[in-house]
Amino acid sequence: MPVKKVTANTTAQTITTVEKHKKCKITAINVDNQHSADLTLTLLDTFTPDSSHGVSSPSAKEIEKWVQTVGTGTTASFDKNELEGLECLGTVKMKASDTSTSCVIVVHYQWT
Amino acid sequence: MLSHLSPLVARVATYVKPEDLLLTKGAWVKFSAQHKKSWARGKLFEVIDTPMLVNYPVSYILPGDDYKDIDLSNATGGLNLYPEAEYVLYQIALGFKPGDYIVHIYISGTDKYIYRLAETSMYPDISSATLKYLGAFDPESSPFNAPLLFLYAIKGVDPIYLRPYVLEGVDYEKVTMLFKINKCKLREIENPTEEQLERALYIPYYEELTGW
Repeated sequence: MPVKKVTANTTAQTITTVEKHKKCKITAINVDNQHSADLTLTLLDTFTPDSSHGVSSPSAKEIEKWVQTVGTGTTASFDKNELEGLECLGTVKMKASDTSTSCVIVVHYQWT
Repeated sequence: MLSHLSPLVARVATYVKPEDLLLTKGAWVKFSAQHKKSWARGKLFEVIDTPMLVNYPVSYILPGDDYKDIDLSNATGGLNLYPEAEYVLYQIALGFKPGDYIVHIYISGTDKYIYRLAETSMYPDISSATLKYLGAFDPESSPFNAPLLFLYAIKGVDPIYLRPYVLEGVDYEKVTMLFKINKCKLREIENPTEEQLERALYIPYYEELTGW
């Protein structure tokens, strides 16, 4: 099962790029926040929808799929039970409320 | 033009692979006498040579409570899944990945829905809270890796359309379909035996499937 490690950044960090015919199921997220402040993490699903009956020229979308605040000096783990149903359709990204290499985020995922 | 096996087949047929449901060399097919193409109309054919199976997955990301019309034919903007020569049949097995959507099949216009009822208002109407579900396929009815829905295309027949509709209350959904295209070359059997007539796979014309 693929795993991606990133550090906290206010610029969204790519976890995995889109797979045309699959969805990305997030199975676990582990956070070690040794930054000097609490951090709010946001998992983003970014894609451009296809044209449809209602929207002939759709624009790119960035949808917040998961938001969690992790206290300073703490670790937090979110397993598949807590992330039940968390699926992304496009490129998966993670952004944080502050930039810090002292906060490590590990995302486990699988394509379905 | 199309057939749909009961999902029960997928559960009980332990030793049957999806490929076993496809036409093979030596199989017989008989086209409807109502078919619009004269070379096929009412005739019986044998599949010659070993058919060739071509997989073609297709995906669309669509918003909730919205739909997309997908033309399977070789017309401009279509998916180009139809043969370009006579005496060729494409048996197209269609499977769906799980998701919050349903799929309608139609030829064109409200009077050519295949899965409808006789009363004039009883056709799959996306704008209706109830009729949008009439005759719809959900993904479980023809699984991606074990498709039970079969479409039959020959050169120049009317375009078959798929209309995936993403359910209300869903933000966005990825509709992923797999077309398993079984390319069959046909040879006409001019004087078929009773056995051949009885055992041939009958391919109806869509107009036979509606209007009653």
